[in-house]
Amino acid sequence: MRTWGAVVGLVAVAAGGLTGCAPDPEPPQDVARAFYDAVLAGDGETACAWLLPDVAETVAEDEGAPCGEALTTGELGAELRERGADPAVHDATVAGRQAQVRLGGDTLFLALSGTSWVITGAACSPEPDQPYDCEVAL
Amino acid sequence: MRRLKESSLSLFFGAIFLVALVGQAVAGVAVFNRDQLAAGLEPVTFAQYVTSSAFAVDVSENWQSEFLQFLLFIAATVFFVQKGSPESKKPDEAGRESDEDQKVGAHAQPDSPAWARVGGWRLAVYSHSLTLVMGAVFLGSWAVQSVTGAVAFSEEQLRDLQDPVTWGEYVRLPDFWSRTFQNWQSEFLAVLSMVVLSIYLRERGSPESKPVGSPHHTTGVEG
Repeated sequence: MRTWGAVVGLVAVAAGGLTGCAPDPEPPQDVARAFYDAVLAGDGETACAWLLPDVAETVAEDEGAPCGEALTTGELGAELRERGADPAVHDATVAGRQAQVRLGGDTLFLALSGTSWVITGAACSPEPDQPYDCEVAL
Repeated sequence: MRRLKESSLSLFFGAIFLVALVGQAVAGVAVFNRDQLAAGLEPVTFAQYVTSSAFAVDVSENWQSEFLQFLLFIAATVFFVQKGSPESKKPDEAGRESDEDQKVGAHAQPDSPAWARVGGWRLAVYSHSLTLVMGAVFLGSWAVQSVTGAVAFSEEQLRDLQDPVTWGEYVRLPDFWSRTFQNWQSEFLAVLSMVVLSIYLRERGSPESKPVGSPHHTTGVEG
């Protein structure tokens, strides 16, 4: 975690005091790993469950197949399997209700929705002075 | 009741401060949740919003500029004058003034504050205590703005699938200086307006105005 970890921690403590200490959500890096674990296991339905619902819908529309099938078959499935082959977490940055997780083979973007982190972007490649080009995103 | 009346100015501003802060929070959470819903995310609670960096940066950027405004106003009016303004000292009074004028040390009165009667570091500190406190709140608020602004900016970056920034990077970005200068310019304009307009315009009964019949060239007279 970068510096923001401490800031987010303080904010979380303050929020917890006001809201009656809701359980901590699963950390974004664990969600990123769980997504790729499911992809590598061929469990597309579970992988889709880690996506923001609108992103899962977009994947299905773009690939012309149910989300679970789209994430584990065809070109997208092959790319995700390749990116997920190195699951080591290199870095995780949380800023407010958004996060970025760098794995060995991918950079993922996540957002805190309710009490859970969901993936808003996966299979992302950096673009100079532009947003990342993500195969799995809105 | 008499004590309430004697503090009615502080109570009035304290009350409208709280109303405005709550209003900012209520409106702010509505704006934040509109963006959440547009992004397909669940709305946040009021408590989550008021403890967020998004809210903190909006509050602190206004606080720092207000405290800077009064800090500069207090300090600048020691040395600079404006003929005809009730906000200014008379031109021949510019400067720190004598111990006799300031009622300190040997010239202190029986009911002077304790640190005004003693010399040394305590008198030195007390002589600048107003600017020290205003300056500390200004710097503290500005620091909070920079930290929470960096988090809020990074949050926007990540929402747009872009890299977050560190604090060191953020304080060199236009976003930080845009938020800072847009508040500073309005505060400085407000002080300038108060200093200049009060030469010619009046509000009967206000100590921030000259008496209604006071001539325009009269300086340092409050009604």
